Amino acid sequence: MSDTYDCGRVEDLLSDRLADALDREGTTAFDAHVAGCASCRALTEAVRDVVDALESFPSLEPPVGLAERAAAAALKSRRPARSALPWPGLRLPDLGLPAGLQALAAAVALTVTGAALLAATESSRLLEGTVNAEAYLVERKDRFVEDFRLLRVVVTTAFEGRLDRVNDRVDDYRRLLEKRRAVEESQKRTGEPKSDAGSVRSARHAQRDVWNPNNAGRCVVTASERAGGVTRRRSRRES
Amino acid sequence: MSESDGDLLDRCRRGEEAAWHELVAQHTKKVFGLAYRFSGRVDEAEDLTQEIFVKVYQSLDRYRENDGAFPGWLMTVARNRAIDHYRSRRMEKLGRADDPAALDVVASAEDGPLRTLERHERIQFVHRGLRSLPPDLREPLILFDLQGVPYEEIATTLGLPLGTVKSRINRARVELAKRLVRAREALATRR
Repeated sequence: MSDTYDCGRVEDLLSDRLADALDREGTTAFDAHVAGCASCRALTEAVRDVVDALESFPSLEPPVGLAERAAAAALKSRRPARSALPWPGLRLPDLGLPAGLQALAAAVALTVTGAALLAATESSRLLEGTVNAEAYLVERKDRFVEDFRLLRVVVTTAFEGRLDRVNDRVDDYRRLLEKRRAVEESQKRTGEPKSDAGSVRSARHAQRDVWNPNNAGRCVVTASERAGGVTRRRSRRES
Repeated sequence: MSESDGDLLDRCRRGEEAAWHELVAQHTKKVFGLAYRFSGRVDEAEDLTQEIFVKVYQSLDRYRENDGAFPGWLMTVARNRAIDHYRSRRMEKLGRADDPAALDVVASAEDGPLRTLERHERIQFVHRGLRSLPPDLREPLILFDLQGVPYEEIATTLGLPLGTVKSRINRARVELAKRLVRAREALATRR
């Protein structure tokens, strides 16, 4: 039997040969090449060993109490029912004025208060930006970089054709950024130099649940929190 | 006798928390196994398991019996979540060690001590190699060889053509096999 396959072809067909998915001619040509090629023989044997090793991966028992914690975390993620009014207990005082006039007065009062609050917020923001212009610009640059990275996540996911998963991936990435920020801030506060990968991981793990006002309530208990028996809310935008 | 998934789901939808706890308890082992295989760390797998059940709980209303059996639907949600989780964290994972303690392999009864040791080392070697594979090779390999997911389902989950899935699984195996061959050759040279 002539050897019609080269090493590249054998490599491409290794999994098919192991699964007996080649036709008779293919099987014969494959076996003929492997019989005369020591490196392909070694590779075929190694692929068998790899598949055996993958299939023999240990099946771990879940840690004690994980099912209870997971079930409880999911139950806590349930959205609270929204009331019809944002402030159900709010009642306008009875001033003896016609209802329309009262409503108009309330609207004017709300507008004036809102404008005053907005002006105060803007002026304090401007003041802050002026007083500490350098820090402000640095922060803006960091935010811009983060926004750009988030955009990259969206674009990558779109290119993969998985638009249905964009929200999840953006949320994941946002949480990752929050953790990094928390670790950096913690390091700044304590004046610690950057630590090795393991301890960074520990610090990140310990601080992974930072409240994010952009996200609706979701509660997950992390492994590090369980050590202290604490349950905190994890920020997560609900899809 | 434990209650069926269908009965538990009905009770969950009626708001019975005990039914949800029981449903989670019945499926935690499988979900945790998947999470561990994707994350490679027990602590991260625990967190991922919780995230998966949060996602499942929030999607329960969308599950219909004609979507197939509940365990299949659950594992699909879990796989999608695990892949998203893995992709969002893969940059952070570079250079991080896996859990060595989790790699205790039960010796096969017919293997002698030497063979068991060799097999144990090989499994550890392949596990480490798996972590360092590029994501486009690693994901289909985990799903196929570790999770036993059929090619067609992997293609749907990853949004890839069937032929690409098959070829990536083969490439991933060959890549790991080449590393194993090199390691064996290096060992033989030292002896």
